[in-house]
Amino acid sequence: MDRRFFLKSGSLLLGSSLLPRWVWAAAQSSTETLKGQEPIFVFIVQRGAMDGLSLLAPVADPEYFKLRPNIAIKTVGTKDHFAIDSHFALHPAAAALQPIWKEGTLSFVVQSGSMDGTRSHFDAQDYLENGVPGSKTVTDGFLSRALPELSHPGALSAVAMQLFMPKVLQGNSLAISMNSLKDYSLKAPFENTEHAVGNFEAMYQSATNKVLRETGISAFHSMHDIQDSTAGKGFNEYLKQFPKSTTGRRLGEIAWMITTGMGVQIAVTDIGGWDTHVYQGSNEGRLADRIRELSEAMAAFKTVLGAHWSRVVMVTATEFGRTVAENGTQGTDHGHGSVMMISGGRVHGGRVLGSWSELKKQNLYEERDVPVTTDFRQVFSEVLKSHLGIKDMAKVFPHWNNSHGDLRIFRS
Amino acid sequence: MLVFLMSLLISTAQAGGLSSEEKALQLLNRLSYGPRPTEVQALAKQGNNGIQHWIEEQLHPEKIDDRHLEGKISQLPITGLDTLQLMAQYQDLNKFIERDMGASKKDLPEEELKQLRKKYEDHLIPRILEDMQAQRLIRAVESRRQLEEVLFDFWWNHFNVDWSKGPVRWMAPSYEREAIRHHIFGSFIDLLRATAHHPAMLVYLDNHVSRVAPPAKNGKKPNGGLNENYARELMELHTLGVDGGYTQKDVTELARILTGWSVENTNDDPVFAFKEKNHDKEAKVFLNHTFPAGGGLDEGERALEMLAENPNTAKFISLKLARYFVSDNPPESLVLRLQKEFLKTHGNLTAVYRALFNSPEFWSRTSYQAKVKRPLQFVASSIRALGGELDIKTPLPKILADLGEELYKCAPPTGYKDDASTWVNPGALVSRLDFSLKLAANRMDGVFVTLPQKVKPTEDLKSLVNDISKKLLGQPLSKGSAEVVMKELSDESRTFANGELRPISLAKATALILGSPEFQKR
Repeated sequence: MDRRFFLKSGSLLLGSSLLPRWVWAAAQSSTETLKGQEPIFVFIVQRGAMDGLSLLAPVADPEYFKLRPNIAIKTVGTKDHFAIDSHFALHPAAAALQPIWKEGTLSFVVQSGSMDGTRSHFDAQDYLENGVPGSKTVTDGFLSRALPELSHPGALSAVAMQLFMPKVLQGNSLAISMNSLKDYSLKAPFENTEHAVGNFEAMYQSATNKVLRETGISAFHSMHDIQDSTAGKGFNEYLKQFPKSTTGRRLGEIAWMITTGMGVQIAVTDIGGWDTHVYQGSNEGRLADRIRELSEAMAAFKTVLGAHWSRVVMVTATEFGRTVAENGTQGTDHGHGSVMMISGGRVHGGRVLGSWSELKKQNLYEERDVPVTTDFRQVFSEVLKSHLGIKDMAKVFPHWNNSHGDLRIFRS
Repeated sequence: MLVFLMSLLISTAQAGGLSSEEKALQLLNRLSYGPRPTEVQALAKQGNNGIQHWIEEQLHPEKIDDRHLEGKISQLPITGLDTLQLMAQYQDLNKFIERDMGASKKDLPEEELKQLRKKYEDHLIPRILEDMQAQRLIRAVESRRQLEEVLFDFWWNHFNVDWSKGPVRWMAPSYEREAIRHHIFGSFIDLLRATAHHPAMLVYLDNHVSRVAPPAKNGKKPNGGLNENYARELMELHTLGVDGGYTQKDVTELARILTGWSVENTNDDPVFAFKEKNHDKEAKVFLNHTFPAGGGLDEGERALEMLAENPNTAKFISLKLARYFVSDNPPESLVLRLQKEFLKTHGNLTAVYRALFNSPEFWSRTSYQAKVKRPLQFVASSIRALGGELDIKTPLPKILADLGEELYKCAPPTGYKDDASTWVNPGALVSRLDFSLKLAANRMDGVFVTLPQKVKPTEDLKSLVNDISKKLLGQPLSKGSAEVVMKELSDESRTFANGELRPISLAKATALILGSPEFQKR
């Protein structure tokens, strides 16, 4: 499909005062100057509440084994044991992350999460994504608020590689969600379908509903770029380098967008299946399978990106952690603090960030859960500021003062 | 009835000037899966009486003859099978293997049999889901009991279970029929009880394995104990709502009350069972109410009643209904009125629906076209607008999965969200436009639509566009969209070699209207 056709067919309306400024800017190709160099933030949302005590097991703490007779990670003394430091061992299913840790571009943040104590998945996910824990009236996501603060926002600046637009990117019509790049197109059932497509574009440019109008305009701009990029054989060959899992494919497609210089600066995807109330397993099992899928996809992402890795910071987070003690069905119930991962070429890795207290009852949140001592916003605000160059953090995280200062995530 | 009629007159008088056609469209967009051709105009002609009659008829679906549809759906292999029959038919893979291989399983090498079993499991069992999805889409498009279908969608999402979770696959058809459909026009407590007693819900939210911790043996902690999952969602999502005034302690206490609410014979003939030995027999305090020790099954029944009668439940259900039928942020006045009706009638759902459909807020200008169609609503209304039907014999395309709303497969217990911000984004829009192009080209397998006929070349494109938009959309297009469709049609008007004007195809114009911003709203 010929891109120029669309720009031409839409040109009547471009420049009209109906259009948001960024569309005008995108049409003027001002983003071209930056492509291939822009820093990238990848956010992986682990939906369902990941058990941090399994990803990073506090194997030096006897309480851990006492409270989890069936589901503690038991690798001490085996070849599967991978000591992070004197306190923690990495889950054996996360073996793919070991080289990144050793190389020093991966850090963990323990006792991290939201300061709000809700144990509702849905409220907690909303708080993680709207960036204002406790507020249900803030309906847009913190990354959608960060988007206009980027120095060169364009039509493909923010992408969610998943079926739904996640809350973290809701609220700004510049963000795009798609299940896969190949789905993001109109297949031609008529001769001369391009003509109808051009007319759709014109129709949405004149839509009276602002949200539908901006959504439509954004859809067409990005569609043309993506169709051009995935047309050849190279795309499928590239994806073969990633695991066949859903997360593998999604990170593969995000990597493709980065490698081919589509201008993506914020990429989001999610991975579910962490709500392990029943038989979560230990070294192997349900939870191990999720950890493996995530770790292998992250490792492939890093390897395939090669030199582009230096432009990327990848952060994982979940809505809350799980109870310290296992429940009656060899699983865990909804808890509080969990573990975040931060990885990327510039990351001063090989470190466990945040504070840690032993799992004694008096140290626990409501005597049952890992407490939260590092607000997830500390991580995000430092990444957005130091990596994406966003200055006005009050717009991104309103009503919040980072009294703790930076975690010093990056190499100076 | 007189009171109802009067209140309708009053409420429609306050409609802020919705014309009779707009009222008809509002009704058909909200209480059905969209107008069929000429339905808006026909209903508009009958005025307020017609609208009132339509609502009352739909509130009593048992009086609507839907035999044609039921006959069609009965051709689907799973129709009418209860859980036991479904398992008998689909679980015995050997039977299918022997039939297809023409050999007894004893004569097949073990390794081959193993591989065949895997293959059959992968291909056969998903057919249950395909049949469930097919009947649902067929009902949405073709059932004459439209309101029942719309309300089913609402209640399924409210009491969501995920077909993919283990043995739920066998239980889901029965859950649909007996727990949800059967109670749509009944009372809330019956609906709540039916879901709480159904194996599908107990398995989906893990309550079937929740039990009192057995005493330690030889100093070793035995397996088994409390699981809070169902108790939490029962309050947060099914009744009180997350701000409904309960604490973590209440969650734990309710979980204790519900210990023993389980499923027997999960793997061959699953039925609800209260397992006495799993039940926590100690006293509990739930929502400031003391349950003395040894209450047994009745404790749970009493807890369900307490939840159903709680004013916060009435408010939460009212809010969700108002959001579904009126607008994403419904007026507080409406929610309070519905809550009052709910409490007054002890959760008589038909009474609450009637109050909702009679409210001035429902008929207000602010509410008109204020909702964005969800994928199922978009797909069904597109097919209905084209007077379409579905073919039972062709597996229907996975269109709803592509649009992000695969029926019966919403994993989180919230069900699919009901607000515009979830569904309006560039990716989803591209998929919708793709669908409208395919549908207008009659390229959707298993879907037959009647496209507007080719028309003779005409000078008056404006009235032509006006005619087809009224037919498909139930109202005229906006000026901007109409101009685009006109342009498309004028580009289509070409001449044959002999100089004669050739008839105009309306297919692309149809695709444009279905994909238009106006058609995404309801």
